[in-house]
Amino acid sequence: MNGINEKIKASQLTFLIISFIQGSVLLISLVDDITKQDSWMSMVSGFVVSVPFILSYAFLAKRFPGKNLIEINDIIYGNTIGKIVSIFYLLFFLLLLAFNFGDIADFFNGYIMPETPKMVFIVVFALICAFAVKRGIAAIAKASLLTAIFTIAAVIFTTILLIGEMDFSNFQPMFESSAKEYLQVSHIMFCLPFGEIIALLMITQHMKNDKKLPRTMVWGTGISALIFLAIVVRDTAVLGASITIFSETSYQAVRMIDIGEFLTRIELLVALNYTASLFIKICVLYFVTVTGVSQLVRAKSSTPLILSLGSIVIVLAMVSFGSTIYRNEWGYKYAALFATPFTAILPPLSLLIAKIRKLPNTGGVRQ
Amino acid sequence: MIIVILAFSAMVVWQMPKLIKERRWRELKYFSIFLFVGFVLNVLLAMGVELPDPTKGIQIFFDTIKLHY
Repeated sequence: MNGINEKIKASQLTFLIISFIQGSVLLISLVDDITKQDSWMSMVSGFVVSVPFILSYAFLAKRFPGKNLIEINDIIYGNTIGKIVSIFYLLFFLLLLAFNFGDIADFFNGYIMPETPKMVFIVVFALICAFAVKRGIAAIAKASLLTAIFTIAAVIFTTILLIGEMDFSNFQPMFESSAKEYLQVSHIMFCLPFGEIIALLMITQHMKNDKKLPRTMVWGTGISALIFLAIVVRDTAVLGASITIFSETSYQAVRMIDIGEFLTRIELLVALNYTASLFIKICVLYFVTVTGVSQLVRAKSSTPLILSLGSIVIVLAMVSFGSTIYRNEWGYKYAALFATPFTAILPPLSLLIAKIRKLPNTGGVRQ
Repeated sequence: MIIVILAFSAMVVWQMPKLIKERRWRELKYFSIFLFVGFVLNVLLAMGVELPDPTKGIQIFFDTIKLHY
């Protein structure tokens, strides 16, 4: 793989995190289904809940400079159990990768090109991502600058154009949802978009200055949470009670833009935006899976594994989730629970064990 | 079906000679294993065989321990 030793800057990691988290923007319509007009509150609480966990990831990476998640697992849990934990993590990343491929295919299939088979989108996207992964993480990080700025600009642009359509009485009545629903949405928000940045622990070893890591990670997540918040407020204010009807809320809200019958059909901007951030997310997950697997099998270079793993992922993406309804049910009921062990239980536990065992041992490991 | 076979032979032709020439047997081994698994799965998919959905398995697991929203 090219550029394996290239370093990425802290600012690039921030943009990488923003794009990575924005790749889950489709999730917002799921959140809208559960907490309706109170979604913005659950969004805030989801972020507040995630901060300590994200700090735990960052401190874990900071404690073991120059090591990635798999090496950290090996040090903390010992060789055998560490390998088992790493295999579970890699399966988690592999499944996430497949689900995200499925997401992009479903989105294109459902909204833009309904006649084309899903396989086409998955294969084309997989080939582009394989190319990006071959160029290395530094190239992906550079590209993420563009997508992050594009995302932020698009959200600001569409929000300004929609000001005329907004009606802030749509937020009333407040506190309508039950406590369980707030808890559920906070859990989903924490485990899915925010918690998934555990995958970035596989690339923080390429950071130039890992002293800044906790701040960088929280900053990146915070900016993403702000973008999510802006999107939710915009959608709720524009669509009102009808947000629960649509399976793709942002798309519908931006579709309302109609200025002098001239500035219309801007919803394609949302589609582009989503594709761009999902591209970064998939590239990162792909890179993480490939480097992780090649490290686990102790291969010298991971380039040959890119295509062979990709062929497995394509099939996984094709067979998982038969229908959109089932996908929603999965997101609603199971997805957060499935991610919980990897995002909420293992990283703080690892940090705790590392603290108790006083790892890493003073062997000049700390540079 | 033919496209699948063509695509996989292209991958083999593209990657294998380089690995054999540079005598990277370990990588060749894992490359072949993953590629073989991918090939079998893709052929099954192309033949229209109903492959199991990984999410269904996870769903059944959470249903049996009665832990879901």
